[in-house]
Amino acid sequence: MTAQNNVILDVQHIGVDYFSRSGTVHAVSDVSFSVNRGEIFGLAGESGSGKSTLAFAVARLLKFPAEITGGQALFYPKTDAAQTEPIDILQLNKKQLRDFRWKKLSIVFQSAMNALNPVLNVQTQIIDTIRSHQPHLHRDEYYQRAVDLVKMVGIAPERLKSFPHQLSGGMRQRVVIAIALALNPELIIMDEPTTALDVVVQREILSEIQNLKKTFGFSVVFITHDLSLLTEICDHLAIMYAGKIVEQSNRVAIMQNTQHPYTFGLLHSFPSLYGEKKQILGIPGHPPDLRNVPTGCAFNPRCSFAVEACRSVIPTLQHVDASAADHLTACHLYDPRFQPNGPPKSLGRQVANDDPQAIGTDMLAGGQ
Amino acid sequence: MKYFIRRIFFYVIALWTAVTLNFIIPRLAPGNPVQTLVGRSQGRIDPRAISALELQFGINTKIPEWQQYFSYLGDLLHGKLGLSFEYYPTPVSTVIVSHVFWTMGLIGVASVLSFVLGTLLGVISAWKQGSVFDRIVPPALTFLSSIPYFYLALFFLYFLGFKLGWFPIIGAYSFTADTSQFSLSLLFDVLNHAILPALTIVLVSLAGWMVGMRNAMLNTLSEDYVLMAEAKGLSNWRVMTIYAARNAILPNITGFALSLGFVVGGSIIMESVFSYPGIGFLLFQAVQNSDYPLIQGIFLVIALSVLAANFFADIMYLILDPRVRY
Ligand SMILES: Nc1ncnc2c1ncn2[C@@H]1O[C@H](COP(=O)(O)OP(=O)(O)OP(=O)(O)O)[C@@H](O)[C@H]1O
Ligand code: SF4
Ligand SMILES: [Mg+2]
Repeated sequence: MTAQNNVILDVQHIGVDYFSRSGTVHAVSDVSFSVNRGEIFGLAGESGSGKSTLAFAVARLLKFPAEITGGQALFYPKTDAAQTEPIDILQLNKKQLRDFRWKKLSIVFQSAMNALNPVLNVQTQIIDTIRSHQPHLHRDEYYQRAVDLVKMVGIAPERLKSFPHQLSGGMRQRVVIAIALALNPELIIMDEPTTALDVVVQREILSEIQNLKKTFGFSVVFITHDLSLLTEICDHLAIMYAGKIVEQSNRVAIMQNTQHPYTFGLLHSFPSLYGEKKQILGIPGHPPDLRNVPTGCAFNPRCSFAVEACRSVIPTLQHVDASAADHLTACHLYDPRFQPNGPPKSLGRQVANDDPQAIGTDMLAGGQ
Repeated sequence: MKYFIRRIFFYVIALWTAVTLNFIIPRLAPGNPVQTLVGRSQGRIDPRAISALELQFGINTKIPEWQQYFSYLGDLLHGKLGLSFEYYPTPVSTVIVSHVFWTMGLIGVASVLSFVLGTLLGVISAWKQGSVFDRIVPPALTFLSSIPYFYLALFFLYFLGFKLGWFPIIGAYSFTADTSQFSLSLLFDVLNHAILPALTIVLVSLAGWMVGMRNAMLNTLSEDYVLMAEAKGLSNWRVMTIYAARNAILPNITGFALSLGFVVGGSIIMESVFSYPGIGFLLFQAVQNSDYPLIQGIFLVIALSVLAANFFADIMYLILDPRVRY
């Protein structure tokens, strides 16, 4: 993060509001993060925490009643990373945006079921993508590209003539990924690409993504509500709650040195996909209604560590551990003003005892 | 294909039901329709017509019903619907054919125009949701369509036809026109006569198509695949037509087909107001004159046209929606 030329996407203080009759929803507030070139950056959080909204903001896909209230998203293209200015995504005009999206940054939508047009076959939907950016190729070239793309994601070229409803959920997701790859982008935002799939297919798709990433060297922002899955495939990750990032670090630190009680709860909410079964603790209560967020720390009604200050003072992202430069947490547990005796040891220790072997068990970590 | 075979089977059954009902209903009617007719005609009726009618309705014959039924089916296959009482001895089929042309030509074309135009306006209105166009056109058209057709038609007839004299007010062509052969002037004459009736039909039905399409289109526009199409970099035109409108039009096709089915049956008011020599006008007259064979024949034609329109809708679905094809 210090070496700027290693960063591909740098998001600073972005905020998104939804205007609705029943009140303004701050779906994303003051979110900053950056993604390194070639890494998988994970974004986790419960349903409604603002993950998709954040992804859409970065891809400039938000529509009324959503509005980006501030912030900046800089994209550092590969070729001219060192010298020229980065691309200021939020300032692009329509034409520049059309040029930027899919060539530099593409997005895999949350549900592959709905991301494909039901009345067009796979081939048409792949080729029109390529054609809109490269209008002057020969028919055979378009077709060849389509064949290459589906092969790449493990689909037989005969399937090009199929319509979406003739494909299984996993195949549809592969097609959507193939479309995302169509113009060889440098960054792909994947919004819950595996959520609707069963565990076996989920695993296949994940390793497919990792293989493709190795081959083509793109970076990924991977969004899911399944934090344990993220800890197995990501290099860095951020955890969102009620529109804010509450903890952010590399995956080892998130697992071995969990700092935020919400992260802790999430880590124990899902059985691990690759590792052994863990105890499922879950988090009591429900995510807040974003029109009416609790004062202070938004998590306080559900937090078993909450102290008085949590109900009045909003915690900000801080370095709570001087030895971990890239680890940020927004929690009063680490604020000496509110915790004169220091943070309770149990949170950190419990995680450390639970998980050290799980970190080693995944076959996928090979992100570097 | 399985879908297609199932539908064909449905049409065969529906057709048979319509034809059979057409046979049964006059026979279930209380009393003796023929005697009623004869009484009302005060002896003007030809005795041959009476026996033909009796035969057609199964009165005073020794022929068993099932035999009547089969000879009725056989006659139908040859297009024989009996003889009209009003136009005796012209066969009902001849009378219907000479009128159906005008109805199909006028209302058919007007309905198609209205659907196409309404759909286009709906697409634009949804695509430019919240624009001036979207805020003005749908309410204005809805207001127009809420005027009962009869008054709207009379209003147009009175002002544009009678007061201003811009358009002829009666018939499908001038009385003086030479209809024995086709000529360009005849064509213009016919078109000139068709404008007012067509305009009223389009004005009254346009809003329905527009609002329907606008709503369907708004639903479709919120689909992920439309957003993805935009994100992929497709042109606005392609997103609007191939990704949004093409999907949005599917639910409206059934409605359109149904409206086509009612072209023949639903033309009575228009043709009465404009004295247009179509099927509706014919039916109106036939009812007034108790011309049972003609009424029966027209009902059969109406039933057939509803079926044909549904069949057309099925074909359109097959073409437009791959999901029903397999
Ligand atoms: N059109 C809208 N109008 C008002 N509020 C909205 C709208 N769309 C989303 N929101 C609100 O914004 C918040 C964030 O939604 P978002 O879809 O980004 O969540 P998410 O983290 O992606 O959830 P999920 O896991 O369900 O996909 C939610 O609380 C939702 O209620
Ligand atoms: S700030 Fe307070 S309520 Fe929020 S997570 Fe930390 S301890 Fe819990
Ligand atoms: Mg989402």
